[in-house]
Amino acid sequence: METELTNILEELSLEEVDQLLDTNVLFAVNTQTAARIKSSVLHKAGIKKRYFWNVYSKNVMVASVVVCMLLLTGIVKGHSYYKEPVAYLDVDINPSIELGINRWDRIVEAKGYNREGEKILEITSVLNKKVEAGVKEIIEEADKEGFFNKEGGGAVALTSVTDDSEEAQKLTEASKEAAEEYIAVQEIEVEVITENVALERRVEAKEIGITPGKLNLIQKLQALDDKIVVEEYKDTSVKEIMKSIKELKKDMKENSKADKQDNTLPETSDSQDRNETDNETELDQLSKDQSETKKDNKAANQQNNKEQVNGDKKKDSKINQTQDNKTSNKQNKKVHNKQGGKIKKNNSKK
Amino acid sequence: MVATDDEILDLLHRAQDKGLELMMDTYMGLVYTIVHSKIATICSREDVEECVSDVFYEVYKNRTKIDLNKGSLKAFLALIAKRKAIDIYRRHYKQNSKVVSLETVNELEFADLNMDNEKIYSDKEQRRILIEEIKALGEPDSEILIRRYFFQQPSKAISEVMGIKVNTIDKRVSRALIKLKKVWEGAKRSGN
Repeated sequence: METELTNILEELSLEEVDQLLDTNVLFAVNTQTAARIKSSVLHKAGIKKRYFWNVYSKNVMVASVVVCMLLLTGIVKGHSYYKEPVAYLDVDINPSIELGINRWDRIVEAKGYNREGEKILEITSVLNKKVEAGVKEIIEEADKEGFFNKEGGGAVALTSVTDDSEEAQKLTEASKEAAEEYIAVQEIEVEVITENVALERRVEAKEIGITPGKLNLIQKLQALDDKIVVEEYKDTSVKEIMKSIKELKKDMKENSKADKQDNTLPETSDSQDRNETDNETELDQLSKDQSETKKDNKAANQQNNKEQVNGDKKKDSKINQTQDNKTSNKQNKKVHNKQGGKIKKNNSKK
Repeated sequence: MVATDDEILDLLHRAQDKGLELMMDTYMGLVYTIVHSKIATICSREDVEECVSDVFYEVYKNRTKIDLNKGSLKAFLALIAKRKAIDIYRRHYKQNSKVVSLETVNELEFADLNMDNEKIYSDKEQRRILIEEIKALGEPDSEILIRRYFFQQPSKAISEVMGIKVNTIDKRVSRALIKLKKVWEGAKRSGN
């Protein structure tokens, strides 16, 4: 009966269907499915005016707009978050380049601080590259441009500019490793100097128009020689600055050595004049002492002569007294010697 | 507020887009259920939706031919939906169907709707008795039977919509079938 009933109901006429379905039989359909079907029917009927509103109800439309805006904001924010540098790395050779590094150690900014730096950035693009790769490329380009030569070598200063010590260490280590790797492969003699400076130094350096790394090196030079003016060293290569630093340090070392030696030697002519007056005073004092000693000796001799008559016992004491006098004379002479050659001379004249 | 067939048809003539939308809002569930029940097992979701949209488009296209004196809009839609779904079903199994385009079939079917074909409706009186008997079963049995054998909904789906246990539905169906069988056989005997 089941199959028969199904077949009978499938063959019903319009009137019969109308009769069968005269009661209200409810059917539910998924909203999204209904919307899709509606849009399809409207499309077929050539009614495109309201097509969009049929696909998406007003609420869905508003929600879609909000989601789109949020996504857009997210993308924009995400992009600016990516583009925001959290630290800087200065690469100074003679080309001076400042690299802005983001949270993911990617280069998001690159600025040439001199013509050579700008030229290198024109040749190679380091943006969005890892720090190591960027530094390597800059050094490679500088090498190609002839900033390192096999005979004279060169110097690279890699300076991290950040207040975060961990980040600074990470940056300098990564960049140093990249630089040394290139140097080792190319077998060139290049000195790699790594430093870290605080962010506030960047402002100061920017005003002068150099990288904080280079400013740091010039200030080191200034510490050794206060006559040095930062502006004069703006275009000087790191190699030259390092050379000057080393020379100045060497000079200072030699000077301090010489000073030490001078302290042990007799005073030089510069101080002779000043010392002469003192010497004369000392000399007078010394002569006084000597004449007093002589007087004492004379008195002692007279007394001894008197006592000699008195007996042999007193003879011994006379001998002793003479010896004492001799010793005191010798002592006076020694003191005199210490006052310098001139005093010696004076004494001998006397 | 449910729109009447007159309102829908009137709007379909005056403001086509609004009329079409109102018709779809009112009868989407009915048409979708008929098509889905028949072809969901052999077609993709997209095909089911395409068939439903074809049904509405067919009615929209023939809106001037619809005579509400001959049958309600609901009946028109249900019949077109059923015939389209059956055609797809038959074509799928290559049974008793000529290979023609869907559009051609639609037009032929719609033309047939208002015809009183003697060959097709020879058992008209028997069917009338059967329909009356289904209605006479009363609620909820008549709705259960209509849903089960006209809309071909499974017991589980009927249970969910009507809030009656699946077992109860099956029991009521089997009891109703016994009653209908007696009536149907009686009608056939008197018809012969």
